[in-house]
Amino acid sequence: MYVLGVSALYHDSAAALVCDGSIVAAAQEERFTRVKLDKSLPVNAIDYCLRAGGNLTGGQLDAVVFYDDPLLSLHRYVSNITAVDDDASELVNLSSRALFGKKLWIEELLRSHLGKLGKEDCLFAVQHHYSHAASAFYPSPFESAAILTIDGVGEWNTTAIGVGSGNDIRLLKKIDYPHSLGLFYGAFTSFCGFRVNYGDYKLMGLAPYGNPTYVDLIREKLIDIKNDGSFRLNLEYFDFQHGRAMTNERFASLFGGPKREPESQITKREMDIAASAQAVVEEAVLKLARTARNLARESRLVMAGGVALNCVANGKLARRGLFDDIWVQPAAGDSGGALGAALAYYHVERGQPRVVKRPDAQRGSFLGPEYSDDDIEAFLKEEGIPYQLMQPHELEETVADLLADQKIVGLFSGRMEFGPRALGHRSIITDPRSETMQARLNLSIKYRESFRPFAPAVLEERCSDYFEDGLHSPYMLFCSYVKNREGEGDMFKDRLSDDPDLIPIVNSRRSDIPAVTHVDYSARVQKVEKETNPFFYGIIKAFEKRTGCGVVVNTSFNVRGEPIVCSPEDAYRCFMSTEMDVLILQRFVLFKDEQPLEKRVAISYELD
Amino acid sequence: MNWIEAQYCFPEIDPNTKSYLEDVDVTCSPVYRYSFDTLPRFRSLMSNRLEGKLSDREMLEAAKETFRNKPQEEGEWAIDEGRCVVDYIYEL
Repeated sequence: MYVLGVSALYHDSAAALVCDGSIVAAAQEERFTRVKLDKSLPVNAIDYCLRAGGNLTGGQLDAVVFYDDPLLSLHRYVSNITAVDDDASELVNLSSRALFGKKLWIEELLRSHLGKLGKEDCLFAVQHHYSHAASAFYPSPFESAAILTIDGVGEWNTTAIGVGSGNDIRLLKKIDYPHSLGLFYGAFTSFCGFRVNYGDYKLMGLAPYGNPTYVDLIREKLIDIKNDGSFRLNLEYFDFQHGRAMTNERFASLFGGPKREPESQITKREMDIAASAQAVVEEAVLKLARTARNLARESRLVMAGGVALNCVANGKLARRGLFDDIWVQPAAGDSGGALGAALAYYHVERGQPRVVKRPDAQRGSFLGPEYSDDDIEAFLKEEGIPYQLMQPHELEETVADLLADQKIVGLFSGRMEFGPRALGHRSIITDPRSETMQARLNLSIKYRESFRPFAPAVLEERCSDYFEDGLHSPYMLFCSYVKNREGEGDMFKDRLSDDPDLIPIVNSRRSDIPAVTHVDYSARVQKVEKETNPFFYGIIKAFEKRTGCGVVVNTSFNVRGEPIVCSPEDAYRCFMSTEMDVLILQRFVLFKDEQPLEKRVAISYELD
Repeated sequence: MNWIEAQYCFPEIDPNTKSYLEDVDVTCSPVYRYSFDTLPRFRSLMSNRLEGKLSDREMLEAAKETFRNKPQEEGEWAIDEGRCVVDYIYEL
């Protein structure tokens, strides 16, 4: 039974194909259109899924399922408009055309592309947070689990607690719009000068530079968090319900002045605000998780929704020991809703049994397109691009040599990742032992803010040598702390001026793997498993043999504002527009100094 | 305007409550057929908008007027055969 799941028209559109309960393919539309977080109808992702299923047609599918009910969203939207009354003109301008012109017509839009919506030619809908819950529970390795989903908003809901068992999911409790942890965090993201939805992880990365001096103020004025983690926002300080901005002047007055202008100097105020907002969100998440455990009476937890991408909160939750194990959907945001919708249809609507798979059913999240060596060679020859062809073992040794020589390597191999994290198939990797590498990568490869941290990819058997806890983190969704600490810790915070230069702080040595050690010694760990990620594992293993270091820096293969690369063409363009030294296109090795000058591409990127 | 008043038409809160969690309505399946066809008058209205006979603003003004005169509890969504908040808009 083939089921196509679709998420679209909100943000980060995607499609996923499930066959008899197993995930066949999943991809985000942004990877094909090269528009970050593309929210258009995911025609390219759909077509890819149909090809991956054996060139299926719409009529050959058993069902097409949408991850959200636009009519429920309409209810919220009109209620919001009615509530804010004549003050809603900007919300109307912002949202009405998309809602009335497209979202409500999703059935027709999909039919116009697919021809027929499955054998019954009708569209099924799964409610938004149920889709998130399904994306978290069904692929997880647990027979049963508590479920926690938290995001900005989906239809009416912003938070849901439930329980999954066998093939069944029951949502038990909820919190509705406008009270939203995702929107709360987004408000601080915006206030600190970053783009909502694009820059939430920047706020998370900035937080360790600051002190949480505003926590009491936030708790007193902006959000009321009960002991069970449920919360209410004080809407006097937020403006999202009017569609104008996330926050208003009253919010700004609480923090001593207007929001930071994008791209302007980051000051100590923003660092302290980021630390404070992060601390408050962590408090709510930890309490909600405890409530989920008590309500579900389960010792394992699964999570999804955009807030579940907050790996710092996830790490703290895991270390708290509330649960025996935690699994987070790698595509925790709206893109994963496509997968959840398809799985929910299969198990709930059709009553099909669930087979629990280990380590999980997500298949390393390598669910996107792949390119054969023949495809790549044809591209290289057609473009006249110089390359060297290597055998797999020779390739691992070569890459290890390059890394040990402090080279920065673009790695393109196998199926593209589903979800926002690059896990070794579309990655930029380098040596983590250099204390200047973080700033170098940020400024000359990624073209992004110097303060932003990079993640370590560590051999599974070496994880406990470098990091304090043995969290199962193959998807880079849990922050841990490095073991072999050096330097002054967070003493630097006492010396920070109001508008500090962060480069010296970034470049100070904090451990034996400084390029992946954040200023608070945290690291967003990816544990690389031989079984699910053999090529990447082999490279790190070869690097370990040379250097003794079982860790490499792993960052997504893109530049600022651009989606992660999808095709060999995307990878080559990115390679030639940055200071990357070497590009690995599966078995083909491309050295920058051998590339024709005319192939150089002037870097252009959108500010995010 | 105080915190509670700022909730507008959203469910009011009790400052002394111990929890803001609400029960999920489990009487209806979370997986169902999505269809505009069960809402013919609304669909027709939307078609008029798409054809340019109504502006977004006119569409919303009409919807708001309908909502404004209804008590909150009647606006709660019930997922079966078009028995939903859009029923309000049927009256247009």
